[in-house]
Amino acid sequence: MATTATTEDSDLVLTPPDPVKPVAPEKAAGLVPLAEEQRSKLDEKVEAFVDELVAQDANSPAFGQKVDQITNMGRREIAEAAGQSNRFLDRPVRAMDKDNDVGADLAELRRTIEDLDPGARGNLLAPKRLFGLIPMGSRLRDYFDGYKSAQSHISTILTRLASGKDELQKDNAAIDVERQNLWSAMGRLEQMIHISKTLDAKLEARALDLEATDPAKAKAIRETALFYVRQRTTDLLTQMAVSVQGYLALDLVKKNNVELVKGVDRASTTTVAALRTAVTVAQALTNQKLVLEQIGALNITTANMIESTGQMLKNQTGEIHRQAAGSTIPLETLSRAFQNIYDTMDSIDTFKVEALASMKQTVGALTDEVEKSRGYIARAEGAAQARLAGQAEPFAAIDA
Amino acid sequence: MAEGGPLIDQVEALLRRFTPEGRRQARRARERRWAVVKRIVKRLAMATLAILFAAIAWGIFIGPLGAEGAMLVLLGLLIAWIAIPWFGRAPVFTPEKLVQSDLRLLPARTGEWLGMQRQALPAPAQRLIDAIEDRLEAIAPQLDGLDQRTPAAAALRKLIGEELPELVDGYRRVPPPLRREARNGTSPDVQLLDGLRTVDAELGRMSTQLASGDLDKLATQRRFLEIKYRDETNLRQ
Repeated sequence: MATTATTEDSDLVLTPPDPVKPVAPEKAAGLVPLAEEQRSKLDEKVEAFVDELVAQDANSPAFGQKVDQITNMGRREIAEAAGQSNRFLDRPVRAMDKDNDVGADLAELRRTIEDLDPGARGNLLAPKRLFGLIPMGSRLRDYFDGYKSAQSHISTILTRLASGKDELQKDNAAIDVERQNLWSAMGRLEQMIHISKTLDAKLEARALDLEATDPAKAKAIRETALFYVRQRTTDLLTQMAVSVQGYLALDLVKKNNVELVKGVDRASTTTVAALRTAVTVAQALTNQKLVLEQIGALNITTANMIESTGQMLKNQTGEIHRQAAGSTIPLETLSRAFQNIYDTMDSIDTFKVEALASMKQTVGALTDEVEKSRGYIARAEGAAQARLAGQAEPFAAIDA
Repeated sequence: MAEGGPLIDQVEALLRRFTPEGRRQARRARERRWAVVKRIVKRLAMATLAILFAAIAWGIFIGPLGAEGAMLVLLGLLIAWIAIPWFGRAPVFTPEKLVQSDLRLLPARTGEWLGMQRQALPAPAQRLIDAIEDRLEAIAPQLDGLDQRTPAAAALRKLIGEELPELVDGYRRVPPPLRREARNGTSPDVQLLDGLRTVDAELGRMSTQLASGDLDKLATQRRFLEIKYRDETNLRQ
């Protein structure tokens, strides 16, 4: 059923994912929800910290130490998320390389298949003559002999495609794990953002209260503590924006891989189907038993691997036998089987061009954001270097 | 040594032998001695074989050894058998040497160096030293496949090769009578304890971080098998 193959082919739609746009830091917070219980625990910590800070003399070293703790707030969370962002930046880039590997295999498959295309061989049914006069052998026989010599090459390419598909799936598995890690890192960042925003509000309120009774302390709180809290909020939000963007970019790479796997599956299926058709057609037209052992073996493994292939090949067999029984249709059937392969490869090519554009755009935006956040991280690290050794961190994310 | 009384320290040392940390400590000391013995025996065997082979090679390719040659061989063996045990005793690591050692050997060496320092530290610090030694022992196998140029490797080297020895050395340089006296709110004793606690926590964190690669790899492989062989659209369990 080459006809069925054509119709089945039309449902192969490979959708390139949309590029990930930069996430504004102000909008980055709130993606990972915090539990109510976590919120109240963090609020308690903030409350205690503010009380301790206010209790100190504004000029004492103890007050200074408390302020230092603010500058240090969320350092570990930022560093952890930044470490991950370095890794997810190279993932889309590597994904593009892998696409190229699969692309090279597909191109090679196409070249090999084109050599076998009955459409490119002129009239195969016409008798073959030496110098156009002396009858000599059959074109059709020569043509089908071509399959025998091509089969090992084709099966090598198909095996390579299968391992390329494995790579893509492995990549997706790694992305899943990475996204899980990123999600929990973002959860911790979210907690720190909550802390720093609460701290901001509480310090502001406290400074307002102190305005009348102790203006010097109110000033100190505004100019040191509150200033650093706001700086930290910006740092945390910047990192959060990068992480969110990276999280979305990873999803893009994953979707891209899923589509490509679909494409590779379909390309293998249509190729195997064309070869099977050839076997049947050869049998019908030349009464020649075309034995393609390697393809046969591959056929079984492919069919087992890909559910759709198995189904499609099963349906096909009966149909091909029926059509091949007719005298002129068989070659047409074969041509159509080849057309299926070309269609599949064309749609993969179109997909790849669009997906590549998407991916490049995403990588570009992500690189910019990561660069930006690196500036903040450098500053945060500088603050960390200045801190006293062994100083306890007042705020730490709660592990869920 | 703190002046809390040598008796108390002795009693504590005695009690410690029965605690799990104490037993681990003793095991570590035993292993270190055994490692030295093994190293010496190995070197002796290698030196002896090398000298004998050289003598045989001389005999075959150049000419008969003669009585003088035999004497020389004996002399060589004698020198090797004296020099190797002499120089092969437990190497004394100074913080300067620690900095230069190979990262894979660093945890063991720092552990050894810490073991030598522990007698000079107050009892609570000794317990922390034991905990740190345990961590060092646990982290050592994780360093096998680690690229020494990675930031994680550099951070670990800095922590156990420089910062930790500097803390302990810094404490030892403070004259004993001043160690318990509070200065600006904290005494050197407390500062040492705080510092050691931070090192201990940081080592634990680094160990987790180093393992995270392997943890991720395992999770990835499980997920890959799931993606490849399991029908994802099939929602029934």
